[in-house]
Amino acid sequence: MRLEPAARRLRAPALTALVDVVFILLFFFMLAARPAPPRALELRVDVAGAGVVAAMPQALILAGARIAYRGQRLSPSELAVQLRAERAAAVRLHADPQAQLQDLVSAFDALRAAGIAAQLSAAAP
Amino acid sequence: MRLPSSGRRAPVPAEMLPILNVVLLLLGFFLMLAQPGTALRSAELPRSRSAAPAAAGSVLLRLHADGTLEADGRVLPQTELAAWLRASAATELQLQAPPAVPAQRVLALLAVLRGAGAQRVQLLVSAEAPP
Repeated sequence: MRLEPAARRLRAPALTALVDVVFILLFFFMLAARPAPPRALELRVDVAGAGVVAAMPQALILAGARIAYRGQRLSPSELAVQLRAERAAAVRLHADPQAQLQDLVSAFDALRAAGIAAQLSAAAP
Repeated sequence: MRLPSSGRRAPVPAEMLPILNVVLLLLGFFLMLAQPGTALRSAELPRSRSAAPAAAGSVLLRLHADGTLEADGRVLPQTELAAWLRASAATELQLQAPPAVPAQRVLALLAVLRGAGAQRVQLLVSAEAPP
C-alpha cells in the first residue's frame, strides 16, 4: 500500500504579531537615537548707548538677506569683504521693518565667519 | 470514578495577546512623542552656520509667529516681560522664534531683556552645514 504524504496545511501568517515586532523595532530605534542637542547663537544688543562705540560702522539689514551699507545694497558676504577692507573689527546692525529674523541670522553668520563682531541695535539707524 | 483533569485549563484567547501588545506599544510610542523635549522643531527655527551648542539650564522664551510671547510655559504680554524677568531672577535665557518673524521685533525683545537684567540671551537655531 502506498501512503500519500500528508498535505501540509498552509497557515496564514499572524499579521498582528508581525506588526508587534515592527513596532518594537521602531520603538527601539527611536529610543536608541539620541536627538541632536539644540544649537544657539549668542546675540548681544546694545541698550541706551551702553557699550556703544561712536566710530563703529553701521549697517541696516533689509529683507531678502540684503544689507544697506554706505549707500550700497550688499549681500552679507559682500559686507564682510567690505568691512575687512576697511579694517573694521565690529559693526552695528540695525533691522529694517521688513527684514526677517533669518536675514539677521544670515548676516550674523557671514560676519562671524569673517571675524567681524556684530553688535545689534534695537534703535533706528 | 472521575479522574482528575490533566491540568488543561479553558483555552486562553491567545489571539488577543498580540493585539493588546500592539495597543500598549502604540500607547508607549505616543507617550514618548509627547515628551516636552521634543517641542523644539528645527523647521520652526532660523538656520545658522555658526551656531554653538545651546547652554543647558536656561529659561526658555518662545516668540510665536502671531507675536505672542510665551515665557517659561505661560503666555506673557510684552509689557510684563521686564517685571517677569526681574521676579524670576533669571539671567540666562534662550529665545525660540520662527525665522519669518520681523527682526525688529526680536531686537526690541532682546533690548527689553537686556535692560531688565538678562546677561546672556541665546537664540535657538537649527544647524546648517557650512558651505
